[in-house]
Amino acid sequence: MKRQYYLVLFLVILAIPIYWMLNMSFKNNAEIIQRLTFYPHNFTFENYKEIITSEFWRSGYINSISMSIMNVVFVVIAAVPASYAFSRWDFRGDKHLFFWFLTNRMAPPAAFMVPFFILYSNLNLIDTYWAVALAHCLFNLPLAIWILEGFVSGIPKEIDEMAFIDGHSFVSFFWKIFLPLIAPGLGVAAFFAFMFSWVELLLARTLTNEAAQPITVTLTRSLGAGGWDWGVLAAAGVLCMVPGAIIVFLVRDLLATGFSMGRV
Amino acid sequence: MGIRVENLHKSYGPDKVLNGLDLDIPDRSFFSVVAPTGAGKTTLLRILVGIESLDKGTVYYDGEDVADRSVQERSVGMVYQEFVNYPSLTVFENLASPLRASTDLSEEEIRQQVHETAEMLSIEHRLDNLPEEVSGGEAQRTAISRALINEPDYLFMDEPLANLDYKLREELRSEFERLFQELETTVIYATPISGDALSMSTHIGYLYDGEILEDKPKDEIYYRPETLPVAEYLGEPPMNMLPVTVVEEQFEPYFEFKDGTRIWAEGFDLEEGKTYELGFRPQDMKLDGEDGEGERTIHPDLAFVETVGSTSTLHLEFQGEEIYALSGEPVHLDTDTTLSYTLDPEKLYVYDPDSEHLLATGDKIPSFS
Repeated sequence: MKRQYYLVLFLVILAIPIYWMLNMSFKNNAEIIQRLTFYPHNFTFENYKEIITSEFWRSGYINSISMSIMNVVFVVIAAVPASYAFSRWDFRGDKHLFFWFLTNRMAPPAAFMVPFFILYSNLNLIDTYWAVALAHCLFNLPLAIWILEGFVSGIPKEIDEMAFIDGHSFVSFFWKIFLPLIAPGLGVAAFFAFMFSWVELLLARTLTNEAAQPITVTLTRSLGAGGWDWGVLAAAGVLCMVPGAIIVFLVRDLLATGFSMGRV
Repeated sequence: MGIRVENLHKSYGPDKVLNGLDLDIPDRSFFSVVAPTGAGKTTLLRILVGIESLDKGTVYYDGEDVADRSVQERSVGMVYQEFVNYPSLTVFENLASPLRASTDLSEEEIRQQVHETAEMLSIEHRLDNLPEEVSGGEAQRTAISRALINEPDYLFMDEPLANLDYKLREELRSEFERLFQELETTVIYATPISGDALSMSTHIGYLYDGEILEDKPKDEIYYRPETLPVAEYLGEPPMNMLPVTVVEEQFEPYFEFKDGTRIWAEGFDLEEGKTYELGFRPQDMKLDGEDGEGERTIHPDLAFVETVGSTSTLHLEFQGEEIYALSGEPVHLDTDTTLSYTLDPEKLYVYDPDSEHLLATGDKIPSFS
């Protein structure tokens, strides 16, 4: 019994910030600033209405979703063949390259901020989805390759050979036999790529101005003429978490398989 | 016709796996490549199939060099030791896969072909299951069916029974014999178990030190192994081999064992005073047999008896070496007793310990030439 109490206590402590954000999102600014209330005394949907109706906020969401999906597509397209190559073929320096990929993740995004900014300025990519989606590949691709390599290595090499002996071409083998087998891994890799891309702030802020500005950036730039609009910010924060929650819910089975099968 | 291999070399780094191997696999034979684990059987098979590169040498299919022919163009099937099936496809789709990949049969024809093959290997009731839902034996039957469904000219099997339990192994073994008598496929079968090779094959090749030491029809290699390693490997249990010296007494030649026991060596034309390896099969030893003409009895100690059903294998100790004897009926004897066995001088094999080649045999050993 006692252990359960501790667990509940732990859960409550963890949930406080989330609750507080929800709490705030249903209050008006006066209530937020003036006193400590544990639930909204003047319950209001105004904040959400503001976000849904305002072009400023809506475009932030659309931008975020678009560049995250774009990033996932890039990552998957590149990571699947790369992980296959790392797993199945020996080539000069493969082990070093594989490790070096991972070390990319150890560098803080801030380190790459300036080079990316200059490079993309010269390429006229600043303030486009491409800029952010490509920049995030630097962090997501190594992780995705690393995760997928674990899955690919879990598939016996004999299956590849078997398929060729059976008369499959490489393409037919890849689509019909190989991809279904690493589907859980694809799900896991795509999930991590999407999540990183969705929450990453620094590069997204540096590489966008207005047109392609994602929601995380909007959240930090929403100081209006009348000061901070706390309630709207809280509502935006809640809506920021929603896609993540939905995705986790959708892929939870896939994630469970992925966590037990591969290298996550 | 069949498969011919000339001067095949293959190394992995400094390890020479195959070292100038020559091999002749007759058309429509059931050819077993026999060797202990780690001798390079798998590598040899993979090179023959075409999924492994070779360093040097030539592989001929039906007299044609296949160096430039891809796996898909060789009409081969392959069965692995592990039960390799496509995990995401049902047994039916597993079997259909080669047909879909390399033929343009209609769906109806595919269905019929799958059912025929599945019936042949008794997995018809499993067609709708996924490979992970069927037993090990059925998984391997699925793999074999898939390898056979395209009616390949050559079927390669790499220890297909090794991961099965004893009963399933026996079952599939007898099924193989029946199956491959009916089919027109040439089978190349790698196994470390000489019993498997001796029961199923028409031909046996023994892989030793990166080369095929002998490849011959089964009876020939079994009844007349020309080399010592083959003699000591083939047979269940294999041939007993003991060092002897040839001595002469009153113009009669004898084989003398280390402890002075002698066996009359009538009819053998051997050099006096020289040491040879004397071989005799476990089933050619007679317990408490009559001595007959001349000396022909040895007195080994019984170490233990292994009885399977109605036959017994006796593990004997003779001059510090382990030898075997077979008995057609269950034996109940106390261990550590000394037995007396009569050897048939007409069923002896004499090998040169230096060249490891067969020098002479008793009169009852067929000569095949």
